[in-house]
Amino acid sequence: MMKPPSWREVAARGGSALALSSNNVIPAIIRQSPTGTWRVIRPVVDAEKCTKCGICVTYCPDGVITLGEFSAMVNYDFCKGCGICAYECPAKAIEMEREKA
Amino acid sequence: MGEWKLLDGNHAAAYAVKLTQPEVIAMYPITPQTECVSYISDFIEKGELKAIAVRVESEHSAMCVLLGASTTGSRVFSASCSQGIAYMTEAIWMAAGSRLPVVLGVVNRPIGTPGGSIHRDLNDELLNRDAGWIQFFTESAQEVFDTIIQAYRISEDPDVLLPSMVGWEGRVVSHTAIPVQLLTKEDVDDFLPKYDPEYKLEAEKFTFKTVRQVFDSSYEQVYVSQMAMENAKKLIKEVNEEYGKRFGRSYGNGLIEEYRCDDAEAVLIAMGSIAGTARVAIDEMRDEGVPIGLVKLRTFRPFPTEDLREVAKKVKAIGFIDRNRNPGSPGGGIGCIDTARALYSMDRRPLMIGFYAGVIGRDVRPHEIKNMGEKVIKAAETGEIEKEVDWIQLRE
Repeated sequence: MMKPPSWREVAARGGSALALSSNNVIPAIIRQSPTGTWRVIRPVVDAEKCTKCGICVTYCPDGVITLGEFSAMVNYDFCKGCGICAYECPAKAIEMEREKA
Repeated sequence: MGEWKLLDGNHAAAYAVKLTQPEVIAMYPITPQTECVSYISDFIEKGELKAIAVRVESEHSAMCVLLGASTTGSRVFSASCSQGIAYMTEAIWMAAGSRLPVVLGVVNRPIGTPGGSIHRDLNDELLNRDAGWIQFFTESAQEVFDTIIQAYRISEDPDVLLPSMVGWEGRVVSHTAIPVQLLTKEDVDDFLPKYDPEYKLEAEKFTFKTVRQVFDSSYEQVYVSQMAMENAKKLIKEVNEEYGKRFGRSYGNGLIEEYRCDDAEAVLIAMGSIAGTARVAIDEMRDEGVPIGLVKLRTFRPFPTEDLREVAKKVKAIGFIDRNRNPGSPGGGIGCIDTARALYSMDRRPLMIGFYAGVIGRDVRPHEIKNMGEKVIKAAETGEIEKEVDWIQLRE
C-alpha cells in the first residue's frame, strides 16, 4: 500500500484532484468501491435487438456501457440503474428489470 | 498600446475577454450583466474571437460548463451577478476546490429582497468569500479591462492555480461609459502566455468521467490552497507592477491603493466604485486642511493583511465603508470584520468605525463620505468613538 502524500507532495503536484490521481491507481481504487449496489432496477440488453449503435454508451452518465462483440455490455459493478440507456435506445433493446432481493 | 474607446464596464470587459482569447465562454443573461456576454457574442459572430459560446439554461450550468472545459485545459470565461452568482455557488466552490483557473466577471448587484434592486452592492461576490477564489473589486471601466487581463495571468500561474472573480458594480461601472485605452493583440499575447497546465483531463486516458483521488488529501489540499493565496498576494503585486511598466497603468501596489495617506491621522477604507467618489471627498477635505486619506482594497481575497497593518501603524482611526449587508454580525459589514481581524495582533491598534453605506444600491455621495471622514477624524483627535457601527445614510 502506498503512503498518503504530505502537504508538500500535494503542493508539488499542483494541489488538484486531477494531479493527485494516477491513471494506474484509479481503476484499482474504484474496483474497491463498486457503487452498483445502490441499484434497484437493472438494464438488461437483448442481444437480438441490439444494433450496436453506441447511443447508450454515449448517454450513460456513469460511463459503464461498452460495445461488446454481439451487443452493448453493462458493467453491473458500477451501473446505478438510472434507466437512461433504456429510454434512449432507438431499437428498444434494453429493458429495466427489478433487482431480486 | 491600443486605441482609446468610449466604453462602459460591460463593454470594456468584453474587449478584455476578446484579447485574452478564452476557448470556452458560457453565457446566461441577467441584468445588469447581460450586455457583457452579448458584446462577446458579437465578437464571436464577427469572427474577431474564436471561442465556443455555450448558451446554457442557468448560471449553475454556466459554471459547470466552465469546470468541464477548464479541466481539459481550456481558458474559460463567464459573467453573472446577484441571484445568478447565488445559484452558481455550488459549482463556484468546486472550481476553487479543483484548482481550476476560471475567470468570472461579477457585475456586483444586490441579492434578492428587500427591494429588487438592479443597481450595486457587493454581497453577491462576497457570498463566495470563503470559497477559495481570488476576488477583485474594481473602480472604473478601465480597471475592469486591465484587471481581467491580469486575472488570467495570475490565476493560470502554476504557483497559484486559483480561480478569479473580477467585480465591477452594476450601473455606475457596468453602464457608465468613460474613455478606456485598450491594448493591442500583440501586447496581450506578449503579456499573457498561452494556458498550458501540467495536469489536465485527456479523454483518451480516462474511462471514468469523474476524477477520483487516490487518497483523502482534502485537508492538505485546503492548506495548499491557503499557500497558493499567499503566492497570489506576491504575484498580484508583481503583475500590477509589470503591467504598469509595460502599459503605463497600475493600481496602487496591486492589493491596496493608498490615496493621500501621507501624514494622515485617519483613513477611510473603501472597495469598488465608492473609492472613486471618495477621492473627490478626500480632496475637498485635504483642501480644508483635514489630515485624512483613503485606502482602496483592490483584492478582498487574498486579504491584504500586511499592507493594511502598515497603514494602520501610521494612523489613529480607521473607518471602513461597507457596501454589503451582514445583519447580526459582530460589528459592521464584512470588510470591517475582516479588517478588524487583520489588525487585532498589532501592539497598538487604531480605533475602528464600521460604516454601512450604499447598501442595496443606495447612492453614496461625496458629502456623505465627508461626513464619514469627519467622524473618523474626530475619533482620531478625541480617542473615542461615538458609534462603533454607523448607519450613516439612515433616515430618521
